[in-house]
Amino acid sequence: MSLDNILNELFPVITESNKPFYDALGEGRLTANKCNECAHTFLPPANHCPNCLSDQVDWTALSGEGTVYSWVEYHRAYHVAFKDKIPYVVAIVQLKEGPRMISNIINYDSDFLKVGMPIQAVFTSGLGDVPIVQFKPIIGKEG
Amino acid sequence: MGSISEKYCIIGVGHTKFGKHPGRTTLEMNVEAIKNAIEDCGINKSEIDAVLCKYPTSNHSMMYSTQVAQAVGIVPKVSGVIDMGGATNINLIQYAITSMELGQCTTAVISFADNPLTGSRNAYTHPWGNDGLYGWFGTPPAYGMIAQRHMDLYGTKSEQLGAIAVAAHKHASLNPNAQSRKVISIEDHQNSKFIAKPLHLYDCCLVSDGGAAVIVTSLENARNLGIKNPVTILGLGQSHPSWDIELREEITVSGAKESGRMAFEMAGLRPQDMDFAQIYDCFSIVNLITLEDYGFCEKGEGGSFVENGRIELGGSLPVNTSGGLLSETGMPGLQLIIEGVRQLRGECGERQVPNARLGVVSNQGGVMTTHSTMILGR
Ligand SMILES: [Zn+2]
Repeated sequence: MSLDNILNELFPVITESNKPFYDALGEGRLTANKCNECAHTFLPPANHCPNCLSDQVDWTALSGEGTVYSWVEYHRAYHVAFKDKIPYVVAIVQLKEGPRMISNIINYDSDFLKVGMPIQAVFTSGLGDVPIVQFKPIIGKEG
Repeated sequence: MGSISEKYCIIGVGHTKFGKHPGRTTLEMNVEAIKNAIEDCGINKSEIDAVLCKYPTSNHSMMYSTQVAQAVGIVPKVSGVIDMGGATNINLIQYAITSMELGQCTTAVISFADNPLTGSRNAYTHPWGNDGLYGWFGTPPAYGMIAQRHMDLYGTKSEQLGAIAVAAHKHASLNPNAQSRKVISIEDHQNSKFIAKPLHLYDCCLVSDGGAAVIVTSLENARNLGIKNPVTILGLGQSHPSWDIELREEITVSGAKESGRMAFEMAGLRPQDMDFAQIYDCFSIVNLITLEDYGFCEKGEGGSFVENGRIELGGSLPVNTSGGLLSETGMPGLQLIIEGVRQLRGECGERQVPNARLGVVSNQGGVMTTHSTMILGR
């Protein structure tokens, strides 16, 4: 397989309903869906609100502030493209506005990384130069 | 439908060798397991009118139960494949009982076989959802995420997870069927490499080829068939949290909480009535969280509960007396049901729980995505 094929498996599958989310990431903005009927703010993107099933779903800008809900440090690569990246941290990020998402914690010190730690979004490029959003600890606010 | 508690039973259990089966198909291993289960209860194959299967996890195949039925020469009235990962087996038993209540069949075989050890493990290494660019792959890291939160919220220690692995390996050392019969210490656990920190190698289940089967019928039919030692199904439960772990209200609480409540209520029993527990332990943390969610201890106290030999043979709650997924076989769940049956029949030799009369078996799949519970008695 060519490198492109190997990376293809990693890229998000872009659909009509999630395209604005990924387009916004490319512009350095983190967004989530917000339901016009019940105000539920949610990720991953969907064209129906999972709370009330309304299709009146809009977009809302997020602050990029959040806390670590949990995290895990990879010591084994599950994909050839991540072989030279271990160890790396994947976290469930609890965003201030309510939704949670999967992302990475970067610039971390594993002795201090813990559940509840404040973190801030950083807009970066993933493999294949695809825009992603990672998170870094907010210095001085650990704990 | 009234209560089915004490109306149905498991009459036969069988399996292949656990370990490597190079060159054998999953169908062939299903056939061997079913043959052994039929011989175990001594019934005629023609009694079986329902064939229910979990498809081989590492190699999905359509309408798999019809392939198994064909291979064992049965034209079933009721057949089906349920896909709830490691929770499937108990769900299939529930489907069998439901079909019997409807009068559609009388005796069902539930079987599973897979060969991820000598075959392909690719099915386990795809990215989770749309998050491949974040390196979000694999089953052990997802359980590591759950373990880390449990540790941070409740002070659970890696050494306490180690106590679970130590107990499983100790029990497997007394089990001639076990794939790994090596006794390990807490130090061995701590010194084993990180797979996905905080999980060490010894926190993770074995990878195994093999097949297993159980035969279910009504107690009334078991008597008619002259079965001497039926093991009674007293309670059943199931509950299934979300697919994406980040969408769960709290990842340190599993489907075991609701599933266990349902099963104990049906059985009219409490956790403290159990003589043993066979708990799905694809990872040590699952065992700990399931014991909490079933109510053997409070949420957050699982770490201290599993220490000091309490879950070992001779302790107050022997858990995974055959070695479980950590040390008997990594097969997704049927082996735990089989061990529950054997304990209640008093067939376990060196690893027998003295005078075992009641036990609970858990099955779960995905990343605590699915859960089912069965309470057995004699
Ligand atoms: Zn809504």
